[in-house]
Amino acid sequence: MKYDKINRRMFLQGSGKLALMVPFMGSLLTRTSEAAGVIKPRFIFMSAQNGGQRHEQWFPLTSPTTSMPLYTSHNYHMDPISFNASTGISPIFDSKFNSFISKMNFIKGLDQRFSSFGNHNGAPLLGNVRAAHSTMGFCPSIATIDQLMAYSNNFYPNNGDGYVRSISINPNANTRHSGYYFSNPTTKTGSIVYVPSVQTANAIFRALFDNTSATAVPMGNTPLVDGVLDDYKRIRNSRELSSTEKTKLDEYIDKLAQLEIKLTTDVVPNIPQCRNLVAPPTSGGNEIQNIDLILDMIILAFQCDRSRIATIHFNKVNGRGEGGSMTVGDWHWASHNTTDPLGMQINLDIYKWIADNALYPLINKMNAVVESNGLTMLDNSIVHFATASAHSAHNPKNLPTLLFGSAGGFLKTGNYIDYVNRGATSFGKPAEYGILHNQYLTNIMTAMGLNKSDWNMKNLGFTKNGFPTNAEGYGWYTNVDGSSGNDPRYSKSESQINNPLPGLISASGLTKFV
Amino acid sequence: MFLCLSFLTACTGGFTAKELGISSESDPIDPNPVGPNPSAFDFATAKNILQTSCVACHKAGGSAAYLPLDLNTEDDFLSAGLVIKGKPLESNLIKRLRHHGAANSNMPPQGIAFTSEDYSNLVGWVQNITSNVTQTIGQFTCAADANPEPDQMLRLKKQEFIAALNSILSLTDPRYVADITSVLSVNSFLDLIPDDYGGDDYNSFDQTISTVHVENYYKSIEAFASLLTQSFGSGDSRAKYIVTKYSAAIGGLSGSTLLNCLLTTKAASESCYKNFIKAFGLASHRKVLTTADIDFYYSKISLAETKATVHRKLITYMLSSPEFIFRLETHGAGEVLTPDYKKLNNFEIASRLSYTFWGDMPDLTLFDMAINGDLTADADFQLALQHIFSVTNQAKIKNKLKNFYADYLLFTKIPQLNAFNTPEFNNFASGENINVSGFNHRTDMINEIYDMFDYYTWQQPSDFSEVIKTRKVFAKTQALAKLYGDVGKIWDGTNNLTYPSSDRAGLLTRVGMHATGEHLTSPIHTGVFILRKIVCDDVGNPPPITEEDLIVNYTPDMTTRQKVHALTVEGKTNCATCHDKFNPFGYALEKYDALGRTHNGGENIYNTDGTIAKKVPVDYTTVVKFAGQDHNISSPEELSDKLAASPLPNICYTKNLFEYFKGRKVDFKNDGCDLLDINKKLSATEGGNMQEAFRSFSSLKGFRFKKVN
Repeated sequence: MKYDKINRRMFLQGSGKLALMVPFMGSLLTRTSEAAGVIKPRFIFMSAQNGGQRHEQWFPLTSPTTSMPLYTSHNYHMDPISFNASTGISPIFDSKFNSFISKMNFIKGLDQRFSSFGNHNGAPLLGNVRAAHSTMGFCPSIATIDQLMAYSNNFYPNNGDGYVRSISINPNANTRHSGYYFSNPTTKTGSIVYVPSVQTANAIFRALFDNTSATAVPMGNTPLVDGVLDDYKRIRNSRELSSTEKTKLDEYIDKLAQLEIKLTTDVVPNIPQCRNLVAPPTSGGNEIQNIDLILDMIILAFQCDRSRIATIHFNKVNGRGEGGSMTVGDWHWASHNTTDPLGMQINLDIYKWIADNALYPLINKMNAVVESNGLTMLDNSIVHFATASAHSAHNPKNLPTLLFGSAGGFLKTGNYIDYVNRGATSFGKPAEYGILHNQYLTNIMTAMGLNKSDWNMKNLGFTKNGFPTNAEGYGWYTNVDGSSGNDPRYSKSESQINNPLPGLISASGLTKFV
Repeated sequence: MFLCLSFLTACTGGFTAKELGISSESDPIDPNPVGPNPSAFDFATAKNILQTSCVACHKAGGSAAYLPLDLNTEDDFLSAGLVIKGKPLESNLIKRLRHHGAANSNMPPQGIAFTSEDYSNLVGWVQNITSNVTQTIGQFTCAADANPEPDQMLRLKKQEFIAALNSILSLTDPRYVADITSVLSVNSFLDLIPDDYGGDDYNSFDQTISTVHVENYYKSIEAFASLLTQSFGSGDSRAKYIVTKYSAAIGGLSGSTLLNCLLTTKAASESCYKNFIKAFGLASHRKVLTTADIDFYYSKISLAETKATVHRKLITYMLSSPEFIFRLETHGAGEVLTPDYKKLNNFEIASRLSYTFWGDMPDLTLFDMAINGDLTADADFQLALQHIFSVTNQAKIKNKLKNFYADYLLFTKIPQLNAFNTPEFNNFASGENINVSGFNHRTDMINEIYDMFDYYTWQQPSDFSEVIKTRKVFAKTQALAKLYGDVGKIWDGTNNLTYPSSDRAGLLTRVGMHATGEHLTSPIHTGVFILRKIVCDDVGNPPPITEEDLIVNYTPDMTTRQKVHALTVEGKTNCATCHDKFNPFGYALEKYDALGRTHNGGENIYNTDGTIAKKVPVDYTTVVKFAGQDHNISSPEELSDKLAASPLPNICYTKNLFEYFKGRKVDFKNDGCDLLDINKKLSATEGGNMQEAFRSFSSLKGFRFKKVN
């Protein structure tokens, strides 16, 4: 069936025939609970399977040379992003990205300390390195930063009530989930479980707007969740259940309560363009069309303020699966053969395909929406694009990172920042190392309005090897007692774990660190 | 180097010679004095190593004071939980030390004296620690102090949830029966319920309850309630027929009295609604409701509402109840087998039977047995079991087993053939009609393996080793038979054609096990599959990869095997430790190409335009290690036959069967008694087979009891 761009837009028409034009003026879309002009920071994370992306394909071809002190005997380097008018920034980010240079940051030198794995899903890049593989059991599962935002009152207004707290997307599979959070999210208790991913724009739309099945007789405006809640409480308190079983019912009750709020509260802004929308088709056309529809749903969610967080993970692009095999030429093989010309070319093709067909359309759409503070949606957000592992497979050091947006001026933009301690040695040997990826994650959370009470490992009750962690920062970067252990390369970065990253944070951003 | 590798691969993962009761003559621990010394595999040696290399930090006041090492006695040290007796690779102590000496090693820190021999001695010590054992078979032991995990309240899996809704729907009038996934497929919320996801484990382990689960269970039920109460005129609805049948099962209202209650055109009354609740409760709660239950649901509706609305509300409330969404086992008679095992009641046993063997709720017959019989007693329980395994219900059982095999054998990972539509593949597969209308090789491949298991479970009950070595033909289509090189060999469901004894021995040699979606095979993943799924050994942790590891000198005339070996073994110290364990299994199967065909005179090397550059000889002789021994292998058939002659495939199948159906990881010590029982029922030498192994879950000690803390 031929794809019809106009028909694709038809689903956005409401019953009043008011077409939702993308973009439309964000100033129309201020929630009554928030003053006009208030920045609504959004966080979008985009990643892909396997990784092993060569730096020369990802980063600007000219490395920064301006040297500035980071710690004693550790300088970082930063310069404006270099580019070529016709070939662009790098093999992956070609000339179409040139117009966004002022809104970008390339960051080099972010290291995960404990992970000895590449990442077969997005979760490790969001802080949960355990999700990389079962053998990462020595770093138990923890909540990812997108979910810490999703359940923080410092991120969503009104306790997040009624919001779709995050949109987790994997266009190709309902496995490989990026987000992880407490099974009892409002109390931050229980085990750490995955946040399910959805695959289509239709599924996203229904989570955002649609409360009834199209084929069912509507129940009217009388959701029965309150009665169901009563039943759960009755059974929880009247049956002979173990504490584990009661906890499980409590988790269900907690989520039923959230559902009740969603179903009984008019959470859609009173804006014609956000009401009476018709769901997009269940099938989104070919791969590129499906992604484009998904991106439209994200923009719609942000414009109507139904959600402020989206994660997108790809484990299949342009016909290449994640690679259950190590067949010469498949994606997985390529990630393990990043010095082989064929491996390099495949990796380049895959990431360029994502950059061209997902990343660029996303930032373009976001940049076209002007919001009530006069900035674009892109300016008010952070879009984090990352690869599953660095430079070579199973390598968690020097993770290639690209940001768009400034979270409303929190970040300085337009720079290539390299935190690698050039020419350093470790244990008497040459060793290229940078700073902890965890520090970068705390900076991103700060940009989104969170503070260390939201992510402090000690407060969240995470344990490692059965011992409660005493770490003040986020993620597995120290021993459980908060000490740096035996790796001097990161001892300074550990001590700065909640502090601003030099070169990245703007003057106004610095005021947000507490 | 050889000593180190042979020690690691033979001794440190999965089932060892010792565990399998293999004599000391074949013990893989090399007695060569240059390497690890078995006489040093004791606590005294381990203590000395740990004191020298670890205690400086792991002590009070040390930098690792959070994890002090108590080396006073072996028991004191073991009580810290850093090692699992007899399981070095599952022990945190060994895991942390495994990459010792590498730049990014976890422990010990660089600069601390710690040699490979120290490591080997620690591994050997952990390996040698044994539990108190009262009975042994293979590696399974039934320890006197075995204490299995408590039974947990399980959330219905997505497929179980859908199956239960379909079972309820199936009881309506034949005119209105439909498959719910088709009735509600458009914009339904069923498809938004997350698929169960086990990550590295079985999907049956998934007990996640996310907001997405809760929202879409609820919305699906709401839509289902609307479906059941949809009016077909004259007050007729699907619910009318369903409730009538459940009412009859529990001996409730009947005839015109019941009809007046159910028809939406008739007047409502309290007794009428309470009878509706009681009858539908059998479906939703899988038991006869108590008065308190009935009163609770009645309190949620009003006589002033229309009957259709009330029915819809009641169905929504009752199917949303934890009694439906979860498998609650709380209403036992309070009797105990032992203080840790509480007796289940009739309804709970009926549900255990149906969900264990069908993946579905009890049917009316099982409910009748629960209401009128005594499933806690052997006689009635055996009758119920007969019903579960009756011919009329075999489709449900087969479906449940199919789901197990799909998960166990990773069928979902068999790629779409010609996934990348490359010129190489198109030439490679020329003449096979891959992806041509009317052909579906991938489905044929999967069905062939299902049929193989089905045959040896039901038609010719055998143990798993028979699946490993069988020469019997199961290809059902000409297209598949063509891949085997003989279009005349097609299974009609009853015939007994076989492949030559020198070709196609068992599961590992069937074409579906070799499809990669490309024109090249994948010996690494084939090897990993065999290691994990057939011999249950541990693959090990991929180490950090260095730039040196990435340097590979491929030459144009290399076979796939040679390329893989160059990539992962030759000069690749970091990689070879693990790859040397599993690559050889894959090498042994390089007789076949990426469509499972026997290579015709060698492996074709393709140009990028798809033309054949050259044909090079394939070498599939190798040495594989399992059961603590090296095995020279000259053909896939020899590999299959040698595996089948070992107890390992049956042991591994038992472990996987247990994990899938229990929905959790096995604990070898505490689950040993159950594993032993299942394995006896499986092993042909004990008179068992796969059907008996599956059935044996019903006779396990805890099946009719709830294990509590």
